[in-house]
Amino acid sequence: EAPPRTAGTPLSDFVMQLEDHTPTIPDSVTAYYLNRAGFEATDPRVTRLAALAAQKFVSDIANDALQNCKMKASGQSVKKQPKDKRLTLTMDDLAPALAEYGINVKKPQYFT
Amino acid sequence: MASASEHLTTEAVCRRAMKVAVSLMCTEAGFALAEDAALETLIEMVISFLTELGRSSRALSELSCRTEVMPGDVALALIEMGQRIDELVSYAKSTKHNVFIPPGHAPQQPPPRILQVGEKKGHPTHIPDYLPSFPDPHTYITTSTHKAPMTEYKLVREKAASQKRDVERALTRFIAKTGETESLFQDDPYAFPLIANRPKPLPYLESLLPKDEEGTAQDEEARIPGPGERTAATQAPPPSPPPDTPTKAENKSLNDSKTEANETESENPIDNPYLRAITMPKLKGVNRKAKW
Repeated sequence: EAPPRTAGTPLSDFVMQLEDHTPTIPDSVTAYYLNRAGFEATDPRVTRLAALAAQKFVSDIANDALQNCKMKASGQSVKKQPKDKRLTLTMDDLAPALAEYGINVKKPQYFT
Repeated sequence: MASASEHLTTEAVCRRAMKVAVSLMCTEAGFALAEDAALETLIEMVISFLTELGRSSRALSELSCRTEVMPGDVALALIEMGQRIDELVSYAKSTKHNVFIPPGHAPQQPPPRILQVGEKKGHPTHIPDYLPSFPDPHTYITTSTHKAPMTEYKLVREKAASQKRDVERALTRFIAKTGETESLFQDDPYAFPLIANRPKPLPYLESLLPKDEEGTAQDEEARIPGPGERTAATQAPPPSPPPDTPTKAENKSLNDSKTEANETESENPIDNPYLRAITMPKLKGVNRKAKW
């Protein structure tokens, strides 16, 4: 049988293909933030891996927020607009999406 | 690494680039607009995510006695943070990511110095390049501003002779201008002023009595043959030099030149401070030193 695949195996294979997939976050920006934490990337592909992970993280949250927004809009879209084309990312949509990840954000309602 | 100007710190630039990247991700998700607060929240989250990922993966690599971070360390750090790595591969392959070229990541030229004179010298070979460069060369390089002194005997001799001539001329003209003069030409008294000669009642007396250092030096030279010649000079009248001994003639010629010198230098007391009488040093017991 094939040797047991550890958690990092597919990722290590994927790193070899990472040169084709350029993450949205520029390499230099990622490297800057990683360097601040002590991460000196000798291989640029490892930097891209980290950038890709961050990008997936953000896009997951954004997708959840989008679903929140659509759920709220679907309740009214029948009455007001057939399709709400321009969706706005608001804190009201973001907060519950982040709460699922354990990140609690509270936006002050008004300035005192 | 960061410059001191307002918004040109590296952190600010990276934050702006991150803002653009996050906005791209939101657009990919389907949003067209975003609240500022929501966007800033996402930016903060990404930065803290990357920081934590970097710290954690570094710690894991050092735990394995490595200094370089491997993809396995990053994967383990992701798992520790609660991220799904199996979805990561599928995510990367599925979506077509929008890439933007981050602005200002090209190497920036150092701002041109306003007051830069000349080119800066490069480092000598023993100094590495990452150290700051030398300041403007005129601040520490000295070039002598004088010409090389002339050492040719001919030129030096010429210069000495011309200087001596100039000094004599200037001195005589000065005395002529400040004292009494006799003129060669009737109509133009200022053309060639001659210093007026004051005839003295006892002309020979001045030449016989030793005066200042110039006279004493010449007296010493004349005294070398013997002390007897002095008495012979005092006895002989000065207008007719006795040709008895060559020393007397030598003494006479010396005295003539002395007389001329004395006439130009010692004047009757006038108000002119430059023409006051010379104070004579004492004769006996004075250690007479040679001129210069």
